[in-house]
Amino acid sequence: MTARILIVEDEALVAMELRFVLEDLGHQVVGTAADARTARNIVRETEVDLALVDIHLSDGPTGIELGRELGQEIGVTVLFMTANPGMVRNGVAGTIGVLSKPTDERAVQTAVDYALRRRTGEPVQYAPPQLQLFG
Amino acid sequence: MLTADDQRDRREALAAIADAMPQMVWSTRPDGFHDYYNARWYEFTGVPDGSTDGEGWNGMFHPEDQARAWERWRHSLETGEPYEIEYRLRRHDGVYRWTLGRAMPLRNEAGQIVRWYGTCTDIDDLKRMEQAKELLSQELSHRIKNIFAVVSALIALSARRFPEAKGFAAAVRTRINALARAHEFVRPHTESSRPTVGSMTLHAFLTDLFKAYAGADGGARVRLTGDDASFDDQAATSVALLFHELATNAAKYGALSAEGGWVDLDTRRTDDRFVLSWTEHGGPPVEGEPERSGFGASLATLSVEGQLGGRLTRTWAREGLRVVADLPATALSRRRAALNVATTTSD
Repeated sequence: MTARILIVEDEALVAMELRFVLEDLGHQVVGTAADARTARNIVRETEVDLALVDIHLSDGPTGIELGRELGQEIGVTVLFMTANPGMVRNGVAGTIGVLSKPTDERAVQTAVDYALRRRTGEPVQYAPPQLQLFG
Repeated sequence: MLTADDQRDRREALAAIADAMPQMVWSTRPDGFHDYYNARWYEFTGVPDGSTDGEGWNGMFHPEDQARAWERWRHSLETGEPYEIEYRLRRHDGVYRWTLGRAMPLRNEAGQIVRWYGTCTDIDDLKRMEQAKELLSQELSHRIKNIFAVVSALIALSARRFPEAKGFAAAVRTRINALARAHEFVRPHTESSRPTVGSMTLHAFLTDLFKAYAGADGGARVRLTGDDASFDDQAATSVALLFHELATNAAKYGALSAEGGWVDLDTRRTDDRFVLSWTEHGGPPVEGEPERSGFGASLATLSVEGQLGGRLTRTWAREGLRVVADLPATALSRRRAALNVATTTSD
């Protein structure tokens, strides 16, 4: 399953590594945004299936609101990836869950697969153990 | 017997003392009706004399704190328990300042409450300093966690140019990731940053660490039993490396490499020891001690014997590897143990 994925991450090295991992898996990374405004601009001009969103971005802790907006208003599937998963402990409406950083290729792969299956309505029996789901 | 003049002198002396205090002082009848405030109260709040008598005081609190303060005060009036609460009190310029409110009952010889005496102390500056400190320590922790993520990404990126380094890079990365996870459990936390798993104990951390090895149905394959314990940052690195190596090894060669295999991990506190027993079940038969031990095994030994001051024994039973880490009871939180010793000796 190939998807168009947006990476929202302000650490360039982490973003680059993530891009390589996703491309190795056969996905298309449509863009990398270091702040919420850049992410909004990309989503306005490009179709995005899945966004991987960090919480602390270069313009502050704007990832939570961005994730909610992408999920609820624009219909993008949203997974948070953060070093501080406690920040979204109570869940964010319209998003799937959170993956704790640092992580590894396998955890990214299973979490992305899971999110894309949910998006297309395919039956999924079990969520990957490293992914904390929201409600 | 005190004469009426003596009593008046006494009241005036008390009032003079109360007015000289830097704190706000107040007093109520046994039923909680406020009938006295010192000068500092009127100076701070800027309200006209007598205007906060009775129940008027509650209106001086921040609207969000009024119900809570009222509740607490009523509880003290009913039970006679000392009153203590932090709330925001409106200053004469309209600014709400965090304030510590306390009160004690005065009882007569029959034990009945005859008056309540209370104080309000402006703790706003202290509160702000605490918040700033907390924010700073949060910020540092966040950056440390981020550095782990950057280092991990850097290793993976570097290895991409050297396919022969892939296995090596993956091994180093997973070790760093295990350290990062342990750090999450020992760093200073506020309510909002606390890991979702709930408590901050050894079992909670191990449960989190072993998630990666869960079965296809999401069930745990490393089964934790026994006594839980708290652990500190000094022990975190060793505990993380030890169990990361044991689990990685089990996933490659031991019980976790076979479908249906599992590990029992029992942690038990005795008088002065803390013993962690790792027993593998249902894996391929163990043919005895491997001829060469890898770096992972050395790391596990170094963690237990070098860092934690314990003993690590491995038994290569045919039905599964058994590893016992026998630690001094204080090994997991040495800093607290040191503090306890310091307190005991000074007594």
